[in-house]
Amino acid sequence: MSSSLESQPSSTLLLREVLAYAGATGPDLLDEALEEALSEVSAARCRVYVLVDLARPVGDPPVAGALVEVGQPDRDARLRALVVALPHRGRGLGRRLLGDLLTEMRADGVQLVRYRVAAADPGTFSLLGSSGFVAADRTPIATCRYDGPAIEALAVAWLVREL
Amino acid sequence: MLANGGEVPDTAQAAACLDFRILGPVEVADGTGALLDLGSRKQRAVLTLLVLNAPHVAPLDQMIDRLWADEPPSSATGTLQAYISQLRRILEPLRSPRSPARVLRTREPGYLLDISPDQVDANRFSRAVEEAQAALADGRAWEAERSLDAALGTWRGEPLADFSDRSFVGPVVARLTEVRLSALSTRAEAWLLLGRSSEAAVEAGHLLDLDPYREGSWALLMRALYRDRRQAEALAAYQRCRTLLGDELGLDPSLELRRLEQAILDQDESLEGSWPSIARGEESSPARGDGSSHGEDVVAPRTAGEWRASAPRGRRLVGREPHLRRIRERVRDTARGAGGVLLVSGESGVGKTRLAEAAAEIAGELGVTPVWSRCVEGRGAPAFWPWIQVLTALEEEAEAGAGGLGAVTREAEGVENVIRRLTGADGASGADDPDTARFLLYDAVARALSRRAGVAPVLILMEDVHWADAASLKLLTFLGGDLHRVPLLVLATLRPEAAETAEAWPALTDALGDLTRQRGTERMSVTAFTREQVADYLDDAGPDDLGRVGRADIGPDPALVSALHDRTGGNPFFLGEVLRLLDSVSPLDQVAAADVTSLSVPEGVRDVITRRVSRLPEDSQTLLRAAAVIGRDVDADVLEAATGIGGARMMMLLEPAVATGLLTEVAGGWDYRFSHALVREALYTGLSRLQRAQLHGRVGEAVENLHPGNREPRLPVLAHHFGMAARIGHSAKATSYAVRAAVQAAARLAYDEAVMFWEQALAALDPQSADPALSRGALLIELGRARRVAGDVITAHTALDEAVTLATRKGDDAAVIEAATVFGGVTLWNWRAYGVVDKRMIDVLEDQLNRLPAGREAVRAELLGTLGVELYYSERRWEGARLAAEAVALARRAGDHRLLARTLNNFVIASWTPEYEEERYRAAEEILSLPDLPRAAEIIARLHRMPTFLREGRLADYDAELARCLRLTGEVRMPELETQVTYAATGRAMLDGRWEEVERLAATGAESYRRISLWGPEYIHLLCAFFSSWAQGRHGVLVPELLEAAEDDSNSLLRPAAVLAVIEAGDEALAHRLIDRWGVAVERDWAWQFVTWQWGLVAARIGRPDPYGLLEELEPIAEQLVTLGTGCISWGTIHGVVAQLLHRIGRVEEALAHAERARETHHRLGLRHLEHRSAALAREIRES
Repeated sequence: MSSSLESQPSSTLLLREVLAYAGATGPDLLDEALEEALSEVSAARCRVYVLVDLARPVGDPPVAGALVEVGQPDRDARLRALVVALPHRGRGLGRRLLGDLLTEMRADGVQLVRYRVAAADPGTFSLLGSSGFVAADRTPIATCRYDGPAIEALAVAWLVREL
Repeated sequence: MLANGGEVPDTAQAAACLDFRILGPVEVADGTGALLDLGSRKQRAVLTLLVLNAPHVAPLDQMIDRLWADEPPSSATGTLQAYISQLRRILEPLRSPRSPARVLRTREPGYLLDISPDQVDANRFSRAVEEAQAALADGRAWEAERSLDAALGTWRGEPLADFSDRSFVGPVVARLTEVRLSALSTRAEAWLLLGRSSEAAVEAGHLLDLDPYREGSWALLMRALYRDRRQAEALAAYQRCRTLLGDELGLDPSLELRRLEQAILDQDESLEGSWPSIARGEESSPARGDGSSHGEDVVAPRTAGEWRASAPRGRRLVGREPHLRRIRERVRDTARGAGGVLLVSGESGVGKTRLAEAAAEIAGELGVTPVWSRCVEGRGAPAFWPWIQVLTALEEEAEAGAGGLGAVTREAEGVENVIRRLTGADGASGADDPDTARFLLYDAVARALSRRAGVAPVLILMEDVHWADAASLKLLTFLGGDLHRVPLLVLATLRPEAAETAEAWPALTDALGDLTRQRGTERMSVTAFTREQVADYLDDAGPDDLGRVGRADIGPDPALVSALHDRTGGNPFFLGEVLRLLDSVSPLDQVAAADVTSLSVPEGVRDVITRRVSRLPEDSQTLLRAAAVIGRDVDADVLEAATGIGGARMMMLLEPAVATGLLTEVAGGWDYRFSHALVREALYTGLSRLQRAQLHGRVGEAVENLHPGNREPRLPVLAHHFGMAARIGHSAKATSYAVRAAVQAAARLAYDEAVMFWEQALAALDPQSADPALSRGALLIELGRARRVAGDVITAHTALDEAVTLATRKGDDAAVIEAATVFGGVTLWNWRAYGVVDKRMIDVLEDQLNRLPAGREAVRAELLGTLGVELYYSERRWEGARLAAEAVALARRAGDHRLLARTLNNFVIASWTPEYEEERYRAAEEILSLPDLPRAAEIIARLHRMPTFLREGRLADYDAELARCLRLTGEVRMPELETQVTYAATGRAMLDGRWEEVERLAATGAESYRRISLWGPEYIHLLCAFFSSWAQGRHGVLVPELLEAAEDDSNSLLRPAAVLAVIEAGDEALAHRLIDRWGVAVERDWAWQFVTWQWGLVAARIGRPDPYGLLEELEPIAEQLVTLGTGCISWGTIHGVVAQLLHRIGRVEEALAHAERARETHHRLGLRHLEHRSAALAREIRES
């Protein structure tokens, strides 16, 4: 499906929470991350958020999605995945989704969000780095190069952000 | 959506027990004393801001400025809202997500911590200090000491210690520190009085450590030392103070301190008591050092530069004083029994609603019950919606106020029944024909309202009537006629510029025209502010909830006033929005003209709104856009379902919109309402066509899903939303709901709405639809029928012609017959334009007749009657009359009264020739003899009978018939009939020579006629004007207009009048040329007598057409009075023109005899101006 978000005069994107189950966000968006999460923690602790465009047909897949694991205590949360669907990349939707997510978590009383750095996802690393996330040991990650080997070389395991 | 009924007591109790503490690090304790976890530092900062401003609203924009030190990120509003949501959970853990917050509320322009002052430790402390000072002044030192000990014990360190780095706490900390110093000082004074001088001296020393320049502390120290028998130290203290003040500040000790020193030196006895100034509490109290008065909360600042409190509602309405005076007069008149209609019109945002609100307040003051109703934009509301709201509100009000009042309760039952009829819940209309049924319905509403107003006067405030449905407007017009006798005033607001695009624009034009003519109706224009009024507005503290603009002492800067006026055009709403926008950037008291004239203020009000919306969180914006698709009134359930988010999150996302005044929360429920129509419009128009369609589709499905078992009341809404989404896959639903809505509207007697929904069904129809009931042809027939009932003849024909074409192509005879015979129903006038023959329709009807199987006599009668009328303007007119007579015979044999009325009516029209006058008269008589005759059919039959009365000079019969018709049309209110009855009255006035009345009635008739698209309103008006002028001796007028009109073949009956006008103007040569060009043939149709008479007048003047031929035609009917059609132009006896023709050809004696007969006839009938003309003619003949 082609995207025409740029030509739209006003955004009609909206963050929604959906039930956490395989296929919840449509094919290929969060399935892998969700499968991994459900193998580690209960579904009750997994929250799936999707960014949908209300000006698209009801059956259309979301344009982006994120998986959050609520910590124990629930003042901590772990962002496990943040994915923008392929046709919609390059339009700032990742940042939009992240902003919505942080607002949502803040409203839920979450005070700290963690993200485990994955070498395979330099894009998210880059996004989080420019969105106030810092290395858990306070290493200034803004100076890092955002590519896989560089991240590994840094040995930064977790990024965190206080809300 | 219904509100959660009552407050949960536990929740309310828990909220009241919350203890907010800022005398140290910020903390909140619950009723058990346990400290609440307030979350992150920023979240605690949010709470701190709210506590510092309680019990006033903390404006959202200023909270953001303070939290982010004037550099807020774009997500600031959303982040703030998230903190607010979380704080609500913390402060009210027992509150369910969908019950209203009672501690942390949303109030424009921000948020409010709704707590009592005593729930804040700083306020309790401040109050304790004041009480202690009062006790001390009263000599109750022990009590003061005990109170202060307890109060000072509540201090846990530096006030607001965790935010000492934030500038927003600075003023409060300074004030609290001052209060604490005052408390310590007062306690030391108490110790002194209690004989604990050494302790007092030590405390004074501490106080001086904290503030060495405080002379009160030096005085305290001196007195404490003196009372402790340490006079030398006391005097040394004075010297230290003098040195300090002199060295550091260049000041001498105050007079009071110097007196104290002298008193010590003198060992004055007064030193044993309390020192007067301190005892009276005269020393500058830190708590009141800023000028605040006793009793105010220490944490809620009062200075202009600090938080601004919510402006009180109900401040004066700038520039509207004359309006309010008039409204008051009208409301007062209403209270005395003389109501009416007050139309308040003005552009969007000009303040109509504010005026209506003020009217409601006035009504309340004068004992008149105000009742609100609002019309809804678009097609989403059922017919009669504003009236349903009014009646429902009255019913509720009656029930609420009924108590033991039986009369009111009984009245409420009556109103309930009327509501049921308006909503179609009560299927019994009480009459078979639609027009009578509508009259009965309107009458029932009028009676119910009159009865209710009779119990207590009522002011109906009806907003946005430009969006009212046609049925509601007609009802308003109906009621308006009698309201000057009823204690009921309708104040209706109206936006003329929006009206032009409204669905019911023609109906609105009609209604306004009708209302304007009614006694008791008054129109009031509300215009934009002048420059001076803008200045007054700014001087009057600006828009609600905003601060003062400009300095309080000198008023607003004229340059700023000018800039704001230029930019906003003086539109109050625009002005308010611009000020809000400016306020969100910098405090209003610092705004200058340059800020307004700079590009930071957008050009249009929609731009301002768009910019304000863009400051909200993005998800909030999305939700607002979806809400805008729902309408100005937003059903929260529908919004929730359409967007697929939970109720709690929806409310959270909409909070910033409420806080910033874009949206308001509807009291007593969960729904929302856009604060102004322009806000919704700006959001809606910001969406692309596709976005709108998709959102409408979602909203439609949401409404469907929410009401699976009871969609009848929501058919208009469903038709509207799916109609807007028809092109993106919702065609079938759009058509289906529109059809159901049309049927429903017709059942509710809202015929214009029925037309609208049939049109909508057709527009949304999927060409591939397999449902025969939803075929284009079937819909066209229904549309044609509905338009016919609504009086729109020409467009009805267009629809039916297309239906016939489609059905013929398909070979669907039943559909062809159904479409082709719609026009054969009872009608006053031939539905074709003058002289027009529709050969195709004739072929269709004949074809159907030829193929109609035997035994279907009723159908045959309908076809024959319709064909008879269709043949009228053709060469087969006589055959048409015969066929119509055959139809009557068939109907008579069938014994079907309704069919007989229809075919008799067909006959009356099909045989409208001089030869059939007697038969036509008898047919009209027979119609009137039929049982259960609908009012409309009765009026039509009477109108067909009246020309006979007139021709025969039976003016008393004519007048009686006219009076009955006038009364009946007042009930039926069909434009087609109203027009013709008005014309009948016009001709009658012409006979009497009441020329002003002629002009007025002719204009009214023409205006009314235009609404029904039948032939000729402007031409009939023209003829009326010409003969009226002619009769009054104004010759040669209207020549160009008549010549232009008569050029058209379909206006051939105007030609003799045009020639006569040319002759009167003195151009006989042109008259001859016109006759050469046009000819002088006269059709033997309904206008024959009138046209022949006119040619007679022409021939008498110029000898053409042939006077002998005309005499042959006119002499046999010389006894008749002249009349055209149903009487729109009526003149005297034909003896007059016969006399002129005879005179022309030299038969003077005969001419004189006819002239005398004319004079006698006119004299006998009391037609004075015609009598004078006849007398003059007789003289002229005699003298020739």
